[in-house]
Amino acid sequence: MPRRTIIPFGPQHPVLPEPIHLDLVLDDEKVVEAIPSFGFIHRGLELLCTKKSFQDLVLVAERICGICSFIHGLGYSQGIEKIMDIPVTERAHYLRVFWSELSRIHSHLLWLGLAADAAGFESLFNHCWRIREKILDIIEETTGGRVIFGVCKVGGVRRDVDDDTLKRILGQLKEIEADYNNISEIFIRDYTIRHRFSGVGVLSRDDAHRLGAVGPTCRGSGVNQDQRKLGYAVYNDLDFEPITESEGDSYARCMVRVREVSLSFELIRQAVNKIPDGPVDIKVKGFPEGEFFSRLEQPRGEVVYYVKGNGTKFLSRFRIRTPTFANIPALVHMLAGCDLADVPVIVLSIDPCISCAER
Amino acid sequence: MQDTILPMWKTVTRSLFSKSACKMYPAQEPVFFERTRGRIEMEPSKCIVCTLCAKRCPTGAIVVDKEKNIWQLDRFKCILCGVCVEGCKPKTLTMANHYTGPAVKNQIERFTVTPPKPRYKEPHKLPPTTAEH
Amino acid sequence: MFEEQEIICIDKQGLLDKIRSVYMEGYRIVQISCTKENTYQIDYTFDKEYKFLDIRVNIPIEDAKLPSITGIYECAFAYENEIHDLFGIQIDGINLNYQGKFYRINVHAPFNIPVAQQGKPPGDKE
Repeated sequence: MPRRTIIPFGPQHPVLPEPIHLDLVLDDEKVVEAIPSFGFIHRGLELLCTKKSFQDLVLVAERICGICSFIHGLGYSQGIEKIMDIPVTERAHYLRVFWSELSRIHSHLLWLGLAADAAGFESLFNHCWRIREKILDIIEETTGGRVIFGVCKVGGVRRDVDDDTLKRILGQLKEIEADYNNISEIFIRDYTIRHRFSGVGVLSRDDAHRLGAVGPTCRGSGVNQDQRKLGYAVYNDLDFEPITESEGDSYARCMVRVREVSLSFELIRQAVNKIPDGPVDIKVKGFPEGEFFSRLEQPRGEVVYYVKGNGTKFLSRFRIRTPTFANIPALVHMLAGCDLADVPVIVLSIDPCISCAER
Repeated sequence: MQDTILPMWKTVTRSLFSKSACKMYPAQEPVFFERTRGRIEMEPSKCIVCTLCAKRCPTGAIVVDKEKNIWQLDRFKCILCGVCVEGCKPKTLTMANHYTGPAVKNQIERFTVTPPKPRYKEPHKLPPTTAEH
Repeated sequence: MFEEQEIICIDKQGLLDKIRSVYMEGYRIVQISCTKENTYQIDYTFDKEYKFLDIRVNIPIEDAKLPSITGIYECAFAYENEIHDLFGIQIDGINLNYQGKFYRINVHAPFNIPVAQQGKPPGDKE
């Protein structure tokens, strides 16, 4: 007769970057079900839309999360620009794509380091973060901040980067990419990583679609869905295909992220070679009135911003649906039937960004 | 087996013989970039007390008192967004690129500013009217 | 640059049938959101291969009750618990009901409080 126990996982755990609590119901060592529990860092940021003017709200949107900060600011600005019909210049769009892809590279490198650490491979964790430092140096050189960029605003971007700097950065990225290719080879071929991640946390293709999974969680199960194909900013001028794998286990999700970093290096090269000249911002007059759903692709998946203005300086609603919030039901489904020792790996494989999920 | 541990051996031997990737802070001074948003610096002699910086500050870290001519900055509330620096016309406020050091107590910095005296303008003399009735 | 966004307004009685027909067509659920103006405006957003569909229901503030769609889309429990916690709307039949403790907030339905009675955030000059 197997013994049934309930073990709490989190909110503090060495593998979790942010606090989330799971109650694991166990039969001996196998997990029968998992019940998630939230609310440790709920700040109620959506309500600040009624108190801060719509131009100051970009600064709030950027500070929702540290890892995905630029794309939050971009999504909000895009929603307001669509409502107010502001024609953002081409150069601003290209610079936004440049910074979005740099943000994606740094976020995926952070995750790769955490994944290696969850497998116990600490020297690989340090190597991934060493490469990430070089990316953060490029970001600091062009925007002024390492993590919170502070460059996006309603109407364009706040800083310009001249073409000589962009060419020099392309040269630096070539060296970083060579360094990264050595590290990614370890993820693809190493015995420890393959054993620890394969066959763990399997999510089938139908389940991924039915449970509303987004991002690498669904792309690792074969669902071909990448919101960059919608063509916001200038993604419809760039040439790329979404990366999918078909096995649906944690190793497939890891491979999707490893290959997306290489894709991002390629997209930056395309964007910098095509960038036109011109101004980078437009003066914004008037107040927003109307509503719009703006959808973007964050490193963790699809993010949806709903902005609704009523003709005054303050918005009437600002709603964000972040990708981790959509992946939680898929996580609960994946945990049923796994071993207790595999729980940290599965929780980490959806890339939990709980401060985004709870705002 | 060789196929699966060789990639890591290459990286390990390379890092064994190369320089450390860590910066020896604080023994070695950190190198900042030109655009790094470190701290707000203020030059009291150039201030014209227009209070635009206080109006634009999103967190309320800058408070300007027009009657007493005091300009005040709360360093703990400042989020280094740079909106005040962009809007300051006489370039009183600049963004320095080294960070404020850690502190135990809150630091509110106060500067006394002297607004420029308005230049005395001769009152516009109207031409004499000829009273014709 | 942006895709076509289709918004359909229906009333509460036809909600479950419409959601069932959307599920049969193969859409996946994206989000459920709530806006409070003169009425509660609930948006159910769906997506299929980059095509966007939004179903909007308006319910009066005095009689704020909704049926749950977790019988059709299991993953909607997170969104419905959030709406219940933040706005105080009564939703019947959620498969995993946190009874108001989803977000661990002290105040009941904080997003319902009118702006004039909310506290001032730090740094507010108005």
